[in-house]
Amino acid sequence: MHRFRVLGIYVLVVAVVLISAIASVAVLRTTVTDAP
Amino acid sequence: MRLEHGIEPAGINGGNGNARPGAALLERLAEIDRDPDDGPSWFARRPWGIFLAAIYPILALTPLAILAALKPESDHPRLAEVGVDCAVVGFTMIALQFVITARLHWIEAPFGLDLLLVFHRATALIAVTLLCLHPLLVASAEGWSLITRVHVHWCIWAGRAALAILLVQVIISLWRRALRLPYTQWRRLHNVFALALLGLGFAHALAVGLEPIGATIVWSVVIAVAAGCWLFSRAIRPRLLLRRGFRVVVLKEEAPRVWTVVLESQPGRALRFAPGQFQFLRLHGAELPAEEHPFTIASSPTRSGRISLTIKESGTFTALIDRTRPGDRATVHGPFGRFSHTLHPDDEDLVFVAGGVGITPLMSMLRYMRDRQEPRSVLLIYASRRPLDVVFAGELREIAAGAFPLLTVVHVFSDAPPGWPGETGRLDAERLARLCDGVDGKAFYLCCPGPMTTVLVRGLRRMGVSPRRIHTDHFAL
Repeated sequence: MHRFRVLGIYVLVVAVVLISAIASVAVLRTTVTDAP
Repeated sequence: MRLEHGIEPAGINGGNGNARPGAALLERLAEIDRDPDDGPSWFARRPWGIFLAAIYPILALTPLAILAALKPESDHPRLAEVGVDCAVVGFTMIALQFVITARLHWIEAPFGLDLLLVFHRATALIAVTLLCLHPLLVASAEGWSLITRVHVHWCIWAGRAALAILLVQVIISLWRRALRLPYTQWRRLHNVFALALLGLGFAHALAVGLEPIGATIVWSVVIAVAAGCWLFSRAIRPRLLLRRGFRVVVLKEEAPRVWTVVLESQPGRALRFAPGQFQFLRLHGAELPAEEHPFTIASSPTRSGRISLTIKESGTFTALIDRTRPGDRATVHGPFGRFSHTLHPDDEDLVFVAGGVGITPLMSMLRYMRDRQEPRSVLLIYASRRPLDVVFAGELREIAAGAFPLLTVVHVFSDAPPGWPGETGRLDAERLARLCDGVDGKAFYLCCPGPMTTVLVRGLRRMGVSPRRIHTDHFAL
């Protein structure tokens, strides 16, 4: 059971890392495009 | 991690003293014929597991990072750019699924296959979410006609088809039982859909993107790795396993609709495993479909020249198991899993809970303890429907009569015969705690049907049992 608990926490951390990275890259790549 | 008495968990070692010249490398790649005396594999140790866990998000983000580096300025509005980036990461995660599910020793060893399959499901759901967001975000920023129009560029249709296949894949995987889809058919569909998804996604990514040539190289590498894993695990490894085929030597009916199949390995090519582990079996008998199915090994690794599998007739394939004949060829891929008392040497006061044919991995551990003369204390609580359904009744009595291990067996019958003086009804955590005289200091090994396992685990957790002391066999079809 302990392994599956650790896995649950790990998957949540991975999801947060991926979503943060996607948002960061999108902001960085569109900063110039969206600039007035 | 090395197990007690030189037996090691799934996929620990390389080493092959009997390979044919020229085939050694391929056999090593096929993870067969491991020699535990070579010492523990580096791949089975915790640092390697931590490294793999750390590298996964990096790999999932690498194509996005490369594409962003190749073209720092986006052609899309911000919302659409988020959608495109979701697709890049989601598709990379889908490609990585092919590596995760290829049953590769260097990935399976530190985690166990059961954990990897749960990880596979969880990350697949994240990838599906990202890929579903992709058309919605892009269309909301650049026009809903991307979704609604019929006459669009073929690459948009490729993307739509890939997404449709992905959603079908999720539906048949999450609700396979409700859809009454047999495991074998589901597995075939799953494999074919996965490959179709990869091809369509690749075509969509290449044709719709306006990125430089570097993007083509990035996606080609991603697809080559995924397709290579698919080809190896589905086509190459089964042929390699045939070279060290097993033979069926005994078929015995243990209880109504429960059969034991004994397999004999070729001389010097015994399967090395830890008690409680499982393997994938493919029978090549004329009257049986040559399909691969997972079964727990019921025999002790101390007698690994022969392995025995005890199988209940419960599905399309297992219903035909009585058609197996001595002399039939079989291939075995494994062992896998970490449901073994040998992985937890600190657990001294053991409580085994078996539900029906779930006795098999526990029987392997009991036989191992008997053969190794381990002075452990074991309470086996064995839930069955009727006394007639009890498997290994005679052997359990023999082990309980001996000194190794110090075994006590308690039967619980849900459909007890009149006059049965023992436990009757359903087994729950409260009854379990009563039967083992309190839960303090005990380690629980549960191998029961899914709902029963859930009830028991929840009850034990409520009573304060640490999850480190609750071990479950999570591999169920």
